[in-house]
Amino acid sequence: MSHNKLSIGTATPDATGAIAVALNDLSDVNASPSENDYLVYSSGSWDASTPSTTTTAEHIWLGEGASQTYPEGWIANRHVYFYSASPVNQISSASLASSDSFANWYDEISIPAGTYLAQCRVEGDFTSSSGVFRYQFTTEISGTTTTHAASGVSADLGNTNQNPAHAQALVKIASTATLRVNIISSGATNLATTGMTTNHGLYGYLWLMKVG
Amino acid sequence: MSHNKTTIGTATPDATGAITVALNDLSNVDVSGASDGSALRYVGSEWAHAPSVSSTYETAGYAAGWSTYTTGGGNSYTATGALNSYRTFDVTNWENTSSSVQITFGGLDLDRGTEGGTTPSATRFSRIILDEGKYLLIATTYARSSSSANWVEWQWRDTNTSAILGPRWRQYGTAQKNIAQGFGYVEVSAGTTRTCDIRCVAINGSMADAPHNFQDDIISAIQVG
Repeated sequence: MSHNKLSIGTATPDATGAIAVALNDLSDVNASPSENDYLVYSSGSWDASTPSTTTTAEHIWLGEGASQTYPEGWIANRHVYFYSASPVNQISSASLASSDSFANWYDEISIPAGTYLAQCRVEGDFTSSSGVFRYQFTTEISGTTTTHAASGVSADLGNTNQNPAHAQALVKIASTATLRVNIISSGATNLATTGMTTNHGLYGYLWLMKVG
Repeated sequence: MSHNKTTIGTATPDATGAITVALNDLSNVDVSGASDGSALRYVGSEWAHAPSVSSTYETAGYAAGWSTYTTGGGNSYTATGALNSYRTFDVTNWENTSSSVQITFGGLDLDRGTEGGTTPSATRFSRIILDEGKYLLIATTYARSSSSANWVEWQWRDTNTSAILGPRWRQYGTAQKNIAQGFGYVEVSAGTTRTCDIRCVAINGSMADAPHNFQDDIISAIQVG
């Protein structure tokens, strides 16, 4: 057998026996690159890939300031819904859900593994001006729920001593999780379970930004 | 000629005819000088080593302006009549705009707008002008009042269309603890700009535009897409 029968991919020897092998001649490389592409391993082969821009942060925004009546009673340990007729979901593989199927009200966000900056404000309804509760982000993975500091405070709009505070958290999850906002039972008082108003629709929002 | 004359780059066969080929032996690869963490990047028809792909978020633009004024009653806000937006409050004249009360980067700009239909002469920011992109709108507001029962409600709006860009937030008077935060979100289409302001949408009692302390408020936006 002469060396002229040799081939590596599409490369064959020249008269001196030298073979100019390009990257794409390798069996596990499938690269048709554009300028500044990277070689990335995916599903058993090395492929050319355009790097993602560093000027975009994946994010979710719920909070239209809409005059919409909250769809259920405010009860400790329940999850909070956020209203959006046009939810902004710019997080790849994330999805929004309403566990009780309320139209345009969302209380569950499925998010892929990563690190997130989460922030929200909840404006509950109360039976007196002294009504107040705290709320906090939680994540659930395979039935295990984790709470994330810091909690926010929702107080009756007539309470001049308790400005609503935002809940904020840095959430790091190793696998797909369900993100929720939970009403904390400790200290919750005078929560309204009937006659809900548009307050949360007008004042509530949720911001989620993937940072890693 | 035997197969022992075969070469791939600098690699040649050993006594058994085996050739150990390194990445740099390939005709269109140059990874000389690569270090830990380097990646392979296609540049100028050749694969070369480069810093690994970064997924770190780096904003393409931001803008922020805040107050420095500390005393005085200021002018009252209203929720009716002429467009009335939250405004920062600086002691310097507009012509002497100081970089100490604002920062801007990218396709964003701050503007003083009008106050009850009149253009203020001092450095008072009430609007953010945005180029194409997606933006988180961020504000901390403070309005002065003689009564803790007085309040004002703010909301991010499109200055030209009055489109709602986020939820309301309420702020009571007097005490520093009543400094309040508000957020909004806006998308700006390619080839267009949008101007946004923090609109006074409801008020109870008299609330004026003089801040309580140095730098206790901010009107800002950060580009996220």
